[in-house]
Amino acid sequence: MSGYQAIVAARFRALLQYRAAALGGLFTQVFFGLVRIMILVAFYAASSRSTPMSLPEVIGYIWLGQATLLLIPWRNDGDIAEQIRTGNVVYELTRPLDLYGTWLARAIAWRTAPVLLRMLPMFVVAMLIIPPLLPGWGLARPPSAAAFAMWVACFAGAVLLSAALTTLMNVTLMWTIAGDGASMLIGSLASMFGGLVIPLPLFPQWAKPFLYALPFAGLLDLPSRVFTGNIPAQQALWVVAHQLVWTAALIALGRWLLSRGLRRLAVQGG
Amino acid sequence: MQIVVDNLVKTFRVAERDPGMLGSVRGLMRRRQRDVKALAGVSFSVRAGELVGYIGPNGAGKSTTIKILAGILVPDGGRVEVEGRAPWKQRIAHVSRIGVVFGQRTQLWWDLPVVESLEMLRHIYRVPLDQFRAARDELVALLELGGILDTPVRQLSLGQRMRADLAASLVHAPSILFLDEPTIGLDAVSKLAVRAFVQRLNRERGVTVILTTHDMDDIETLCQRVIVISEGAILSDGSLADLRNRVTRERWLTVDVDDGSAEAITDSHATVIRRDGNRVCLAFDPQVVSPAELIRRVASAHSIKDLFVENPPIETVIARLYGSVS
Amino acid sequence: MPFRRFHPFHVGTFRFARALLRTNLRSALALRGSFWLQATFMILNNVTFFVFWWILFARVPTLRGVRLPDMEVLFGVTAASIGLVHTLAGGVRHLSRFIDEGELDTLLAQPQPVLLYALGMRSQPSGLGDLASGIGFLALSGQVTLSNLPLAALAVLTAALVFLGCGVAFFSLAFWLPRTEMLSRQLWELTVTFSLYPEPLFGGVLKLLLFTLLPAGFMGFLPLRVIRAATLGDVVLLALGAASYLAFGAWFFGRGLKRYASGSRFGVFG
Repeated sequence: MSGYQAIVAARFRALLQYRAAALGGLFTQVFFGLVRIMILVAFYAASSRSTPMSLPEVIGYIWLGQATLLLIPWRNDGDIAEQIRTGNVVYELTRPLDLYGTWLARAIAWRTAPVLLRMLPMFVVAMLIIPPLLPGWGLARPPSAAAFAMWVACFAGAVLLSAALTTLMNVTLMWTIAGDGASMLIGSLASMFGGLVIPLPLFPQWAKPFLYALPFAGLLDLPSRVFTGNIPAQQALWVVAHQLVWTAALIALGRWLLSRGLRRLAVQGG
Repeated sequence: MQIVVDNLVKTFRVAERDPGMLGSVRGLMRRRQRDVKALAGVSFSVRAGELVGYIGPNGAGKSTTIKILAGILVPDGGRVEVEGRAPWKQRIAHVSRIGVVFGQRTQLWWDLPVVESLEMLRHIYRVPLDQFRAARDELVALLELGGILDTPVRQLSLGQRMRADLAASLVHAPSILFLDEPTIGLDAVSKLAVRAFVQRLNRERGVTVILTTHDMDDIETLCQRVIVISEGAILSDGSLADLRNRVTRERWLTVDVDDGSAEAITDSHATVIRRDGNRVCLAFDPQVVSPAELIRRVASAHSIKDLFVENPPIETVIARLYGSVS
Repeated sequence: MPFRRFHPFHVGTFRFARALLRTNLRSALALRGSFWLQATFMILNNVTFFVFWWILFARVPTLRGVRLPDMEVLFGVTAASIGLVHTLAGGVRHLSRFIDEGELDTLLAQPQPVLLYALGMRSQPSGLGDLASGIGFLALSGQVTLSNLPLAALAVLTAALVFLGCGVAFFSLAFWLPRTEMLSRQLWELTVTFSLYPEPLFGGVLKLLLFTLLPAGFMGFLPLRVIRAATLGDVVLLALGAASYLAFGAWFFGRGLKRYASGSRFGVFG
């Protein structure tokens, strides 16, 4: 296990280098969050229809989306992309490690470290700094201890799901020559279907079954709604189940594609 | 004098960080700074048509000098004149007359064929079309680029890319060429090709060449004159022979014996550098014992199959020169 | 004594710029698959972000005088102007990297104005996607007709120049601080983000901020106003804004370049 721990530690160290960027990123996100909230406040004030999410829930949702933004699989792992591009990936087979497992571990580190580093300050800002300055615009505490506990479980599930998605994306690099374009697409689709752009409950009714079936819902939308109580704690178990089922499916698909891809590369002769 | 460098001074500020995790965290708060004197009063002059080697250990100030001469860096003190101009003050005019090849970098477009990069450079240097065509054809012939003209630069080997970079730097027929580590990482054949080309360029066209390198063969083959710089100051400036004589008069006698007595070869006036099977290498000072005398002594005691006398390799000379300062 | 002589209207420079642009477009096209992929995905990306407004305006058709077609114009102008910048001056996003990695040395060693050269050094394929989607949104809005087409073109052009000037200023920060690429990119994206939000949603102080520090106003609201119902004052303001931001960017870059050439950025010696 220590090999994987080393990977996580190395990532943390690399992240500390970006001091200006870290602060800048936080500032940008807080601003972005406030702007979105301002717009939604205006829309809710002007709306006479009933909505599936109350304003406080939507506000909390937005903060959570910003805090866990990095769970969205925006980009490939550059190192892996490079390995595949140059064909060096076949050398990985000479090492006594399960390649898919290594990549998954990398993806977990890649998703956990930055997310936690962004999440903790965002929580501080959204829960402690914003409410006294702008009442009602902050992130409210979860409605119960159970809700919070379930959210933690959902968060872990989201990390795993995100890692599985990322790893699958990395595996598909073996087929696309220009990997970046595909990742961009997955990234923007994931952000929309994951509820980053707008909470899924606000989508038109006909779209909802489709949206909730997709894996992306489990990345941001479902966990965030567990936190705010929009999804009651009792039903949160379904969220975790949803995440795990998709994670398992994506891992299975990823493993299978990887073995096919490696065989293909080996045949082509790197 | 085409190039005049007078008391050039340049100091850099370097940020330091403690190693390890704790250092990284501390690095978030404060950064320590240190002044590094890259050039502490460098002076030399170069005549048109000279081929000068500019050598020194890493961090000595070689690249800093070259960058100032190229007009890329502004010094803190001193005077530089290249063809009557201060490089950094009249950058565009100055740079139109020089060519630069940075060994680790390329000025070619990565994804495009070589010929298109050359075409692009014609526009950059505003070379008249017929002049460009003549120059291009000649360079392609001399550097044997015919086969790779249509190859994208990213697909070239290092040797091919270096030849292409050399051609690119000469499209506008500059009067001075700065070469920063041109043979680094090249295979033996490419090195020979590059050296032959540079020599020809200097001898037949009279292009002034300033060359920085760590490859001693480059120096021995090409440089009439060698300037050695270390820790921002010039240690030596003159011909290669002068350099050797300055550092050491020492000469080496290598002897091959055919009676298995190599182990026993010694001399009171010589030091054994190397013993290897039937071969022995002796270092001696020709003013203490003449080569002829030493040979007579060794030959009288042993059966010699072959022998030769040579200068110590230039690496040894230079290493001794660096070492004498630090 | 100026550091370098700058002849903005030199014939040779213009020909050089044209050749540079052609070369870089060809360079981008050389990786043909990747080119179309990136362009297409940028279109999809933009559409994804617009979903936010589609859904909100579906629930509340008019908000403080703003309707969906207005948002479409806003998106259209912003996307099209970004597309122009990325296609014609794509090097702006890479300025920080050029500075950090010493690429400017190569440019300084050649007899052309450094900023122009650096900007023309790259052409982003995604720019064409932005341009195409921008035009698409403008067409969709129904607010651009033959009569105000020149105004719309002017609006897009001036927005592009404002964007470029700001981009140059942001990415030139690298002349003073190491590894600011992420910070610069965030400022860049912040500018884009703000230009996508309609004016009536902002209060007085924020509006002032958005018209000066972040020129979102010049990129978003003002062009929208010009397209909806242009006044001479608005058009003049637009032109002045573009000229000022561009001039500032160029000046800032020049100061930074002077600093770069004095080597006092941070330890680069050898």
